[in-house]
Amino acid sequence: MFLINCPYCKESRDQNEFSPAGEAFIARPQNPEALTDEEWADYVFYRTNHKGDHWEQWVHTSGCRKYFLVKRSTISHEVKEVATFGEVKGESAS
Amino acid sequence: MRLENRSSNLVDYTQPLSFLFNNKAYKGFKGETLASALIANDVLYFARSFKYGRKRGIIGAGVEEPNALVSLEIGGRYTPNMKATEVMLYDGLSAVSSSNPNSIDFRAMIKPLHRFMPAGFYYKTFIKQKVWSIVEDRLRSLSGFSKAPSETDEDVYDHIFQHAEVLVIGGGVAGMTVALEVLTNSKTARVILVDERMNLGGELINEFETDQSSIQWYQENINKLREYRDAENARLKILTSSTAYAWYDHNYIEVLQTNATGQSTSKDGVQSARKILHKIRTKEVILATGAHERPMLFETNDLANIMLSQSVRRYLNEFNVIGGKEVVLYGNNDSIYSTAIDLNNHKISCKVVDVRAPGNESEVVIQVKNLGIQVLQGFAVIKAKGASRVNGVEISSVENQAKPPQWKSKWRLAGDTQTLNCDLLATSGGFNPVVHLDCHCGGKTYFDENSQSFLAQKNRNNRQVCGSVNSIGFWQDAIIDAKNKAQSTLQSLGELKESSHQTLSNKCFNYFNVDQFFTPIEILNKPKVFIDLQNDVTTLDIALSIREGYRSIEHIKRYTAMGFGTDQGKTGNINGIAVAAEFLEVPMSEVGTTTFRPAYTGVDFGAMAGREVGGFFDPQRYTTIHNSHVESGAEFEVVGQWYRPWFYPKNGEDMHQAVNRECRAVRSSLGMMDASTLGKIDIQGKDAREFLSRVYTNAWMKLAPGSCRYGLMCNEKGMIIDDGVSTCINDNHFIMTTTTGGAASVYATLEMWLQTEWSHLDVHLSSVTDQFSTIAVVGPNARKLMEVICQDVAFESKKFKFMQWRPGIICGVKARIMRISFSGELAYEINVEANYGRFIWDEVARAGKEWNITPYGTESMHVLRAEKGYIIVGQDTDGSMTPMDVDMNWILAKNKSFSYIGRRSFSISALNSKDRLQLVGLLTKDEQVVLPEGAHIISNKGISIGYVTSSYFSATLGRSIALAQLKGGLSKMSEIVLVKIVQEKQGLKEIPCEVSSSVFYDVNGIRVDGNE
Amino acid sequence: MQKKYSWYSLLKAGLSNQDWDKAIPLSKPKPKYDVIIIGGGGHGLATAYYLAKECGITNVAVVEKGYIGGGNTGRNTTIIRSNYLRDEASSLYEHSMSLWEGLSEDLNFNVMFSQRGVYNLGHTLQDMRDIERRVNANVLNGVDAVVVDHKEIKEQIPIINTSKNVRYPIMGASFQARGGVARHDGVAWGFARAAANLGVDIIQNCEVIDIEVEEGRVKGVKTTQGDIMADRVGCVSAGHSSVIAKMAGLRLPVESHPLQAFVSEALKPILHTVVMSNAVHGYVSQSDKGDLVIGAGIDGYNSYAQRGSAKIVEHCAAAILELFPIFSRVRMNRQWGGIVDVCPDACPVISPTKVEGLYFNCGWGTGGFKATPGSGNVFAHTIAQDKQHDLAVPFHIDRFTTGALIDEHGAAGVAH
Repeated sequence: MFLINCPYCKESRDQNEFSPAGEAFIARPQNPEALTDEEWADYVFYRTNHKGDHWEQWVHTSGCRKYFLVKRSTISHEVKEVATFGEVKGESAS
Repeated sequence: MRLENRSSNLVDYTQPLSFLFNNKAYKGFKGETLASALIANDVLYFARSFKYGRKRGIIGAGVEEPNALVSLEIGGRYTPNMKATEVMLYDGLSAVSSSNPNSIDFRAMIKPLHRFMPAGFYYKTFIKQKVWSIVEDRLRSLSGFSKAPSETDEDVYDHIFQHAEVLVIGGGVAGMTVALEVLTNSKTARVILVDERMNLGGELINEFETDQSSIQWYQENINKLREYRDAENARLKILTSSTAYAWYDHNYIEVLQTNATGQSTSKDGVQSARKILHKIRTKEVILATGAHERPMLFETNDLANIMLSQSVRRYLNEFNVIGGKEVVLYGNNDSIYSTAIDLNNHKISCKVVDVRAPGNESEVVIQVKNLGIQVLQGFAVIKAKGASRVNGVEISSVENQAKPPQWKSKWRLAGDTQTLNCDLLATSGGFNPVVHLDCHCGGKTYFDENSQSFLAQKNRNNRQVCGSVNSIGFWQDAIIDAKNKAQSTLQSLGELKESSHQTLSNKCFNYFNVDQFFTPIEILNKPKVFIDLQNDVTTLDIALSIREGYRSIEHIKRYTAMGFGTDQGKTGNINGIAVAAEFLEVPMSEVGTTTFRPAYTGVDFGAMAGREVGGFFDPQRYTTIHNSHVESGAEFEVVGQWYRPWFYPKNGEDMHQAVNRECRAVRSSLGMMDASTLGKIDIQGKDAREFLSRVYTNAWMKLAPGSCRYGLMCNEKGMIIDDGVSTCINDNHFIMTTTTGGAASVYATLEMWLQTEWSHLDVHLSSVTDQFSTIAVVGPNARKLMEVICQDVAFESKKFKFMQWRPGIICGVKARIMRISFSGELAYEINVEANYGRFIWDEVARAGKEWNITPYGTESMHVLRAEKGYIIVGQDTDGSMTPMDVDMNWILAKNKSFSYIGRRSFSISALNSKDRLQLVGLLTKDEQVVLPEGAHIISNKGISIGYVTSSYFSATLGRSIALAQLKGGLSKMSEIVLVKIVQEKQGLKEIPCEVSSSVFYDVNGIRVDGNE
Repeated sequence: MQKKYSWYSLLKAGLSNQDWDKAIPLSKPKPKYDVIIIGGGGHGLATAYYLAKECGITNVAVVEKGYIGGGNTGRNTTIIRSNYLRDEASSLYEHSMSLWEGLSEDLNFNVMFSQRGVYNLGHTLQDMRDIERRVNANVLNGVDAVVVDHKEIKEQIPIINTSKNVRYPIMGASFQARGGVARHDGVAWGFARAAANLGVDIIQNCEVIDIEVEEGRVKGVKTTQGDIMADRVGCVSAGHSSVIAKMAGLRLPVESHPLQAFVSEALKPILHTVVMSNAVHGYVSQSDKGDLVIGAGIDGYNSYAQRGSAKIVEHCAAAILELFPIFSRVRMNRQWGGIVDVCPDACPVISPTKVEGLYFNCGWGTGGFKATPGSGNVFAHTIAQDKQHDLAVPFHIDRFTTGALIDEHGAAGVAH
């Protein structure tokens, strides 16, 4: 049961208030029609599923309803960092 | 029996209690456990073991007890599998052994066969499936402990969220000290102190008898704690009878508090919770969980009245009871000497057998010798004698091998055996620190040679261990250790800059100095040396497991069932690990432990669920009009969390009669429906149109204010996920409706797109499902009715067209009136502020009497929409249907600049296969036959080529209609297909049907304007 | 050859103290194998067994990071059924079911497959529509299945609550009589013993740390016990599939999630069948030891930690009490989590990859155990022939590119 510090509410709240919303930094392609089927499939279905420190999206469902980013270890579950969209970019994901 | 000189701090001898055990009456006193009261009454046998059905007595005094399983009470308070040691006595208690030790037992009867039933027996037998299927049920009847309850629980359970800076688990000397130290040195830290026992003090209570200063210490400290607890704005909570049983991520710990063990919790009609689950979030955890004693190993070590030394001591000191008159104490550490002193004080005869050779003796050993108690040093018990209860021990001197390999027991039997008589044998093989919790959430253990036990990982963030869980056995050291750990905790909280730790004294008088606690190797190869008493796992089982290649401790555990019982191997597992090390020829550290998992001790399902049972299992959502439906006698259908009227039976109608009547009313005159449950999302901002264009497949840029439009929503896979009508309030304001069941997920998905991908769009979403009541007024007379109840809107068809909306005042209430239809009839949907819903519903009903207005439910709605071929997402589609599959190519915009969600997937190959399931209509050849929903259409080879998604009898058409998914169905119009009924209950047959358009009624759509 | 298990051998062992052969011999890796299977769970061991037994490839190693059967094989609630909706899935699971029915004899090891039937409950009208559709599909596919109403359920399971006055009343169920449970450890051990008997090396405590790929072709694996060469490598490491894939430079359409289960303290037999309810999120059966074995839902976040959230388990307990209110005073004894890798269409990947000679068997989500023999069987043939077994064809990884998803989710739930 995680304790997540919502970067909007600036409060650490119980996981019950939040919902996970998948891997972060999977940008929707700018021009889907220009992609090959493989590239499109990679966007829709394929995931890094990283073991280690992993950026993911969470939403404060029973709070401010904002989506935000969490860098969390998928091994220890330790939350390393939280951020709003725009504060961190995909390139910095590890 | 009870001691003559009674001076228990826990038992109130002025309050005698009566109770039943196995239907026999006994007397006890308030403050006792069931176990102590039964020992007082000289009850020896508590239950039978799992595999061999051996009669067993009690060995422990707490939650570590493996044998004494009983059930309590009957009916709604029947509780299975309680340990007699954890049941507090109350007047009228009734307990029954989980398996009666005094009746004939099949498992015990086949004793001569036990040698043919080694560990893994069942893997090697009954290998033929047919044989196994017959044998298994017979075997099952032998399994399990107590019977399951048969009635619904009378009691209730609560959950309480707690927050603290520091959670101290364990309220013995270390726990009390550390809690006080934190409170004293911090002005703000909130502390919760939990202990599984009724009282704080832990094992210190054992010292009261012989050590006056221990009482003093206890009184002083307990008073200080109480002051903190009772202060205004108290920073301390003390939870006793409370077990921390699970540690989850981010210092979230669950504690189960027991308020009663068996008595009714209902008083004067008010029910208090039988148990409370405290959900504690804390910054720092301090484990002061103590240690469990482990037994010594020898042959037939499972006879009744073989107990743990410390437990004998607890029964003596806490409850003034003992199970024998002539005691042998056997062990490898000083614990047995402390017990000997206490026994001697009570004038109970005892002898000490110490596996350790003489020399290097601690004070307590010398003290025992000075008391004249016989001490045999360098001796091991090799066998307990007796049929079912111990009546003596065979002992032998042991010699200490000079330099054995690390994994080898250094003890060897030497010399002849001799026999000591006894009626109670108390053993101690050292102590296992209770590290369970620390390992629930990632903590590792390490092996400590000194105590021959696994200790908690040395450093963990925000966690300290102190006292005997830290393998510190000397009281003064435990206090110093606790104070040190309090400092470390405060430092971690940022309340102390630096901590200076006092050093511990050298560890004399220490239960943890066991050197190699282990048993002489000769004993390990004897039969009936039990490791796990509950599951009857012996040393030979472990040896066999290893010889067969099950070498990992987890394999050994699983192969032999060691530690699977309700005691979770609290006393036995460490011996099992040691035995495994011996046979594997590796050090214990290399064998390692099995994984410690929650729950530390059992947790009632009821307590886990708390109040979220019955009606509170999931929220029940009602519209504001709900009571009217109830008054009308509606049957309800559960859709998502909502209760929707399903149909309104009148005068004993069945569903079909009611639905036929409702549908006819709508088609011929007027019906009304509560459509409030449809999801409603308010969309505002100057990019609202753009947003809709992105999430819906069709065009939205030109939809004029005052107009409505149907939209179809897909996911990126190209599959339909939702549909509904959206209304343009003005250029910057739309209201989207969604399916009832999809409302929450659609809203979440839309927010996700907006926030994560399209934050540059000026769009704001708000879920307004609950803010509006929606009443659909449907039928050829709808306009007439509207004109009666709403004067400020022109309802003529030319002025108020289909797919338009108008603001209006209805019976004085502001309303949005949409002219949309899910039935093909002329229809208006009245949206008013939710709290006016019931009022408007009643007004519409009253005004509609003239046209015999008929309320209808979801079933009629289904029929009406099916007649028109309108899909229901989730019924006619199933997450794998594209818009093309449902013949809705017309709704795919071709010229949007933005590639809307799902569009790209429409071009991948499988989505364009001719063989896809496509939505069509089916008309049975026999018009009166209604296809069962879910029935499959078969090819001429008998293979499924589709199935019926929706099927009804249409009263309007006088025949049955159905929608179906059919492979390549859209190009099979007018073909005859067979629907095959394969369930006998439905009557096996093949039903010929014609593939048709899914629009069955009013094909040209003229009814939508009514009869103007 | 190992001694066979039989009454005779048990009797002999009991009388003479003669010893048993090692069921799981202790093996060290050889420098090179024809096939390496990564992952010593049920599926991996089954793959090795069928490679040796049916494909004549015995120069096989199974490399396992920990101890065999220690992952999801030893952590699941052991439910076995084959009543899947889609033809592709039901064919595969039915293939598995038919193997289960002869497995103990085939392996000469009682895996305690117990066909005590499986009920999948329906609580809403749409649940019942889905059940009808699925049962009819099953019957047409030769899979035994019937729809039962709440009265029939009550007759068969007297302790279940079929009252209408609960939040989600039981309306009916599908029932598969051939479904049931098996002894999970026994399955891993039975396959291991039988595979070892055919010459397969089972190498425990041997973690794969890299996969050697040269010019698009797999060469072998690097492990904590040294480098091992192989012509073909099959990866069956549920939970960690993505991690292994990454070593070969591949990505997978799977995500790893915690899945939790728990058992009660042992009770005298009270529940003689398997009851599953997707709507309330709880699955329960009673083991031969007497514990109620209960499966909960998955956590939505990614994790490799083998533990999940308390709320999932507590909600599951509440769900079980909805179905069986009499269990309120029964206590949970032990609770644990596994890591499942989940495919977007809730169906597995049994497939070759872009790396020649490297095959993946993953993405079983919460439904892997029941497929153990079938999965191993079709995967063995797929590796041996370098061509997908007929039943595995629909489970090619390319389906995510072509769109030919199998989508066993079925109706995504409720609407209207």
